[in-house]
Amino acid sequence: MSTLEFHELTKNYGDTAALAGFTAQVQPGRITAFLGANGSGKTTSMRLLLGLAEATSGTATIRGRSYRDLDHPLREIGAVIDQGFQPNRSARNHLRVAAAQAGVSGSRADELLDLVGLTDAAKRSVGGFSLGMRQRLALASALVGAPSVLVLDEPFNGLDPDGIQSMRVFLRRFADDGGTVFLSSHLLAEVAQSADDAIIIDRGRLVTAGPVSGLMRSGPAIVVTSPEADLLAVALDRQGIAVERTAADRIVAENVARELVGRTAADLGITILDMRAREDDLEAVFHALIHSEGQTS
Amino acid sequence: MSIASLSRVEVLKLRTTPAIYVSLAIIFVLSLASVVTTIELAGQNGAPALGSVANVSKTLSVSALTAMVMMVVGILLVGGEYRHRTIIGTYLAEPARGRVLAAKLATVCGLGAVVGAFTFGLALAVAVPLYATKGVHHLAVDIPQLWIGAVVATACYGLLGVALGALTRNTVAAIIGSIVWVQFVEVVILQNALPGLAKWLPTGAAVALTTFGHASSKVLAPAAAAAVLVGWTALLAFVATRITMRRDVN
Repeated sequence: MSTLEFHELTKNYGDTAALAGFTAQVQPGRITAFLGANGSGKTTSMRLLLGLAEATSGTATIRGRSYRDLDHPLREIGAVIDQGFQPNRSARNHLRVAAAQAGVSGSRADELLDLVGLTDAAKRSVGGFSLGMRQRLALASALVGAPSVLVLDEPFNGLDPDGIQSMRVFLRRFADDGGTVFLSSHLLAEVAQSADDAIIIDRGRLVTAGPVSGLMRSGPAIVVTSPEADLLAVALDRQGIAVERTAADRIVAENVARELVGRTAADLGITILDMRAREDDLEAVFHALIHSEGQTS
Repeated sequence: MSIASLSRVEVLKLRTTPAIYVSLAIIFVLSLASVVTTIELAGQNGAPALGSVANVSKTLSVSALTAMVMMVVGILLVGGEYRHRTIIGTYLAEPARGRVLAAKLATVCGLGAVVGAFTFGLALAVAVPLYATKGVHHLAVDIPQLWIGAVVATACYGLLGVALGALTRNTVAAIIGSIVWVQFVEVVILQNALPGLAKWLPTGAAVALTTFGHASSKVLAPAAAAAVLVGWTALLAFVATRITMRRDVN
């Protein structure tokens, strides 16, 4: 059973559809990245999931229940979604308030300050915190009820390289312990390293979803190195295959099987020094999917 | 969460920010200053004579200050959450927004009642010996009525602040708007130009509750004034709750 489920979720703001029948699932024990361009519907989906806004139609549920039906929300799901801080309140007092809201002991505040490395700043007002410190405090707030689900909107924003590494390790351990992590991010390289699954959304609709490793293999482009690259490019082009010249002795053939490239070269007696599938990064896959979606819609 | 648990969270929020301490300091310092100056300057420059009904009533009308400050506290308790976006965390903890607002209303109501009662008692404790040193040994006003009036008015104005904060979601607009409405529209314009209408409005009702010796044509009887003030408070709190429950948090 999926932990989080969006089913035919639609949200209209006047005549503008922020979400148009978005459907997706998030599985337990995995880190799922939620990817999309600005305004694609990521944050709206998260807000609907967390009961901060009303859907026009459709549902967003946590283990089959809407957020508003959860008995102890903060003990089931922790969220970082643009919530702010009272600038004159200290970090410890902020977490004491969060602990009281979650119905757990105030001593949890010190545990969490230690966990996110803010013990030394416990008595400082949050108004003087850097963006990275605020992110860590926000994560501590999300963890106050020891939830098994984390919903994080851009959790890597503002973190320095050490902070990103710490966040990555923490989220991995959280998921490996059976927790569910659902995070949105525009740092695609970071997501490629951290996430198990990805859900890609564009203009309020699901584009694709699945394991990140599967998405990265979805671009069947072949990189060929040959002293007769020009000749091979012409031959492939005559067969209607898109070819890009990337170096004097190298071409990239798009959407073509490796066998076809090899047979074409053999038929013409062209020497091939190297031939390999291009390892598309997540960013290239993301742009390709969004672009193709834009052309078909 | 129960309303009681949510109210304890609201009290913790108040205790962990400086706004409440600054507000209480303002109330106590200005109230004491008002009591002392009203007695010391009695009979001077057209001020009511020392020990007169008007003078004693003015001396003990500290709830005019406590009510306004509590209204600001009420606005900050809700509007401040929207301003600093802490409202998101609050609604994540308790998705039933009606309960959140009910807890805020209960917290401010209790705090307002305590502050109103304590400040009036403080004013009385300072005024009685000060009057005695000047030969005034009997205060010619209905002390219990004014004391109860101070409690009701301060609590209700705090509640009105919560409602205004929830409706506007903007602390600056709510504070400026409420001060302009109370001090300018009601006190300066309506109470002079249309006293028959003004006495049915919140400030007119609060004046009737917290002062003594007005002509009956200008103010309501205390019981009626209390009912009017509570009615306005309940109406605004109800509207604020209904709107808050339906509105998306952006």
